[in-house]
Amino acid sequence: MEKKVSIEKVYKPSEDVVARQVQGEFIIIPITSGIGDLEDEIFTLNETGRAIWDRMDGKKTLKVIAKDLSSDFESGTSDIEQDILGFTQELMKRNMLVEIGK
Amino acid sequence: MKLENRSEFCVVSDEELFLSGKALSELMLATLEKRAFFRFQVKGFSMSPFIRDGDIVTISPLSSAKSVFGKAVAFIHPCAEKLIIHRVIKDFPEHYLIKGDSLFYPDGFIPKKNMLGFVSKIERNGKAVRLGLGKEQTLIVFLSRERILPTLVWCWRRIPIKIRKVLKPIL
Repeated sequence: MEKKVSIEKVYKPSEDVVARQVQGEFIIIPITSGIGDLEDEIFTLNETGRAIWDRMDGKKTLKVIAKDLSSDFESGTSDIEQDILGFTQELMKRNMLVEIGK
Repeated sequence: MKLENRSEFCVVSDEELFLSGKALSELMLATLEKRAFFRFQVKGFSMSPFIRDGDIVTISPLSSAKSVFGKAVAFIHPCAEKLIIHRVIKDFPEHYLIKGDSLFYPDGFIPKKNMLGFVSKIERNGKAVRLGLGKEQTLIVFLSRERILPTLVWCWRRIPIKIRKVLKPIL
């Protein structure tokens, strides 16, 4: 079942991922069944994805992150909120984020 | 700067990502620090015939091995600063003497702190390869240290490819 993502909730990177900036790319390797597998799916985040990822510290709600980002990006807060929700949904689906405060 | 479409934020890498040894070692270390295994494809011929070019190896954290003597280990060479997978042929208090199975000369005395992990699984053409991971490691160390193995590999490489193809299934 797809996990419901909310703008009022707090998320942080899962312990089961390795995320590193290498060779100019921000790479995320999911650890599945105890294996970080380069021969399986690996993910790269672009600058925008990275900006969101970095702010997901397990303390800020997505709403706060959106507000924070609105000063860096020339988009309205509501547009940013929608984008962040979509991004979070994608990462939650892949178990790369965990929800805090449940 | 405009916030890009969310589908652009996160890219699943379908294409082969060519990582440098440094990048690979960083990712490997970060994975092993989480006590997880690290699986990737190796390049090179220095560990032939036990680990071959294109094999997929799984690296395990060092803490999961009683001793790494005889094992193929992933380490950062202190001078070349390169990620290498070669075999431990001698164990000293602070260092290991490490050597590629098919090479005539060792890499030198490598500080133990440079070790990342050891090879716990080898896959070739989708099948697990067990040779070189068990008790035969002691024999491999002897053959490698006495340069018997590199000599055999050297001779093998001088046999014409057509004959090698005939001999391979027999051997």
